[in-house]
Amino acid sequence: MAVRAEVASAVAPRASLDRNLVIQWLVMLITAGLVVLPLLPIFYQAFLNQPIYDPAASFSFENFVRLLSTPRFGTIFANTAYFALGTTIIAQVLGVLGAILVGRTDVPGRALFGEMLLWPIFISHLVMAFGWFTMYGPSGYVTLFIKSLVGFEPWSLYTVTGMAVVAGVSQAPLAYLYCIVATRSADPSLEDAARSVGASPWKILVSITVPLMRPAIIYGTIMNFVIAIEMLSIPLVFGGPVHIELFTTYLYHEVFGQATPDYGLVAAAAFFMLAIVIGLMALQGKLMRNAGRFVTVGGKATRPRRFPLGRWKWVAFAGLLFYVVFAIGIVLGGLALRSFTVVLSPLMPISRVLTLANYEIIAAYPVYMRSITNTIMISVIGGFIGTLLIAMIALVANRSEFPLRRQLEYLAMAPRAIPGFIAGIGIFYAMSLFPPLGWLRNTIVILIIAYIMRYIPTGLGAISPALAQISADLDRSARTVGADWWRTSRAIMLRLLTPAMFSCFALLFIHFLKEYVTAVFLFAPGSEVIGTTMLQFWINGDNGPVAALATIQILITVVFVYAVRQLLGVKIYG
Amino acid sequence: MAELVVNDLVRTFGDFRAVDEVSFTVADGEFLTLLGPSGCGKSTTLAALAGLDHPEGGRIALGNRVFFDAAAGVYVPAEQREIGLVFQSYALWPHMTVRENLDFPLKLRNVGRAERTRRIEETLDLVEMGAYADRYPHALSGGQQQRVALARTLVYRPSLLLLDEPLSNLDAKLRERARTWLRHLQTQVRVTTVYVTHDQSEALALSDRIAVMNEGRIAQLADPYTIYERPADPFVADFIGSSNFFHGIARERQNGRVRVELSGGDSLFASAPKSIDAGRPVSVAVRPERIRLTDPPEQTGGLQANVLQVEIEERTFLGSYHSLQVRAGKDRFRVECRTPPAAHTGFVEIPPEACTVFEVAAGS
Repeated sequence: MAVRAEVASAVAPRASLDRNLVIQWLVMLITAGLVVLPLLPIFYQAFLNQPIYDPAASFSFENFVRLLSTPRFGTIFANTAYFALGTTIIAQVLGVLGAILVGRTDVPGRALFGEMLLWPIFISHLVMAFGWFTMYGPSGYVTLFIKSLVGFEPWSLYTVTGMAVVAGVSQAPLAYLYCIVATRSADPSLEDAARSVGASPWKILVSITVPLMRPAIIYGTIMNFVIAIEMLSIPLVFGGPVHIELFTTYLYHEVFGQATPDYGLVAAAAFFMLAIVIGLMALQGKLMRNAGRFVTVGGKATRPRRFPLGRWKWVAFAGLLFYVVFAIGIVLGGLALRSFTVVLSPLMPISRVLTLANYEIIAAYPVYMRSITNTIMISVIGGFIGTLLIAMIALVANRSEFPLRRQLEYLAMAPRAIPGFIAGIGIFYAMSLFPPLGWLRNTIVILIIAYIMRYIPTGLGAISPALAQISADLDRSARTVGADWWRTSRAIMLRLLTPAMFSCFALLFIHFLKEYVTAVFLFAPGSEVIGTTMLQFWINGDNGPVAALATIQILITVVFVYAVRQLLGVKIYG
Repeated sequence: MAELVVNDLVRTFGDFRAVDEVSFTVADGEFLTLLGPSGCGKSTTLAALAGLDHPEGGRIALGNRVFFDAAAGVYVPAEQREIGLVFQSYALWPHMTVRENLDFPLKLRNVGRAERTRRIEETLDLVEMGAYADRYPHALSGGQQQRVALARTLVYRPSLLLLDEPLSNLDAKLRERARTWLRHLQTQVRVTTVYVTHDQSEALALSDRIAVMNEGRIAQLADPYTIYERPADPFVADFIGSSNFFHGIARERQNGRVRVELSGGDSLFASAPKSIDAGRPVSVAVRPERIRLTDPPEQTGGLQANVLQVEIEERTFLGSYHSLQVRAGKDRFRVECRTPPAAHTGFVEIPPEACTVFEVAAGS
């Protein structure tokens, strides 16, 4: 057979405008637009002496001078630092301890504990805050119950330490997540080597296992510190009533407490906060640079051996059980119970206060129902669009000849350093700056845009590792048989990435469902979400409907997570 | 029609010149192998031919189509070159069946459905994989995957076939069979082929011509026989069949032979087609299988030329032959033989025509 005897039928002739470059530039411009949209107005406003929309505004450092000379500034700064530090320490200790116990020891019930320790990661801080408030607040069910036994109030969450405890417990799942992944990928031969030279299990744990988890611990520490700095809900719920101000609550009150918000001051404060977060992220990058020293992933798929705890395993079991029951079970269960009662108090038998009124209130008002449908719409539509965009970013940055692919990668990771709070303010300013954007204000479009921007790095976290697993030969071979970049991306890469894209969608859906900080400055009549409505109820003192909305949000999350995991087999967080 | 011409190809990575002004021509239908140790630039050269890597300088043309010309600013992307590349990893798309893998390049060329079906069947039959059309790649053995990978490139009839160590992932037995089969297939199809490997036996068995590469340059480009028998420099002599090297000084030349005075005082007569200045330092390459064990001189009537007394230092049994490490004076070298001598010493004869003399460059 003479294969080459006939003239080879050539691939379609080249179009005058290279569609690959057009698509790549489009992805670049969208990403750049998303990142720059909130930042530019903040930078601009921070150095203007008048509001951004005032044509008479001129350049000045006045805002920074005013910010630094605010009498409360020192206290706010100290509170924020103390809160962030406390939150981080509590979260890391709980998370690392939990990961070691569940991942590396023979503690009974570890499979169930493993699930339970991770679960709060799916739930919004706002819901956690309301749950703690309902059960452990000054008039909380548990607080009053203990008070009736011992005769005095056993604790107060209305302190910076109290807030740090609540925030620390809420953030422990993140620390747990990073460390449990590290324990799973640990190379057992490193520990066997220590054993063979005569080290005891305890010695191995202290001198080999934990040090090898160091990258995960460092990474989690800085992530938690940053999240604590930008946290609004817990400081607002527990600090608001007693006027303890943190950076975020200060900004919140500056914007919503005044008849006319001080644009310049808020921008300067946002700028200041952005600088701190960017600094921390840079520090993280520097610390992680030598992570190769700790790379332990071997070729073998063997699981590390578990450390036997002996009699101590029941102590560990009791500790984990106590934590799961009191820090997670009672908090979320109490919130759900509260939603079905008029008032929740140990002084009133529950049978006498049962009611569906809280849910009836929500059902009765279109505004409340709309916040639920809006939230679901944003999660579905935003998750879908976000996943497509993120997959394209990953492909252009890692698998194309696009000249600016390195820059695109950096740009796509930039939102990690942009707190949702700041993003909200920035986009809010952008709309003041460009009046044509105003029509977006009353739609969920603006929220979808802001959310997608915020969670590009989160989504890339699900897609990039999967992409790295796909051999470069697979797309190179498609190129040599005659497919251009876009055809290769569609027919080969996106198809092979489908499972990772499902994971990405699930992650975005959950994050969009629980997100509220970004929306606080952006929502308007017509674009309410569950989080913003809960905050409004709470400010009005309607704790019943707050609990009902929180319960609905938890329910949607549980159903969604169960459905994608069990029915579709999608992996969320590895 | 499809003659591949590469001129002065240059590819650098920082200060490192991975491909250093490489030029060669592959005639229409010819099978050329780029052979060399890892890091010699052979894979980089192949990537440049395929359009998967952008060289800095030179020119690549296939027939009348210019793929790359640094001076003219021409660079044709991989997908427009109409070439076939078989990857070391085979790179079969795991989400497509064998048939779909072959169908993809045909669809890109807007080939009609009936014609696609016909060509896929024809090509799969050619590589003896017709029965596996509806399997997914993960359900195939390494050898089968390799055949499908080849079929996927042949199905659209490329004017140039590039093979990047396609046999290296097969086990030794299978590799030998695949080699014979591949050679047979290439003579049938007569497509211009560039083959990259670090395996000298593969190169010798398959190629019309071999380009031995070293440090980004072509050390020698010739047919397999010449490469083996008349290596152009010590690197080629050592890389192909791993030669012994004797170091000495060139002395008088007579009847096409030069006497080389070895550092240990013995003399070695080596055939030397070119004249070599007396007094120059030279090295003499001799393949271990060309050295013969011989009887003691008492039995052959006095010490003859090119017979050396050796001490046997080490014996290694390698199945079909024994490899001996021997020492004559200061020179240590290897000898291959069927039956090794029982004694610790013996005599070897080195035929002058088995010796290749290289002048040692001053300073090295």
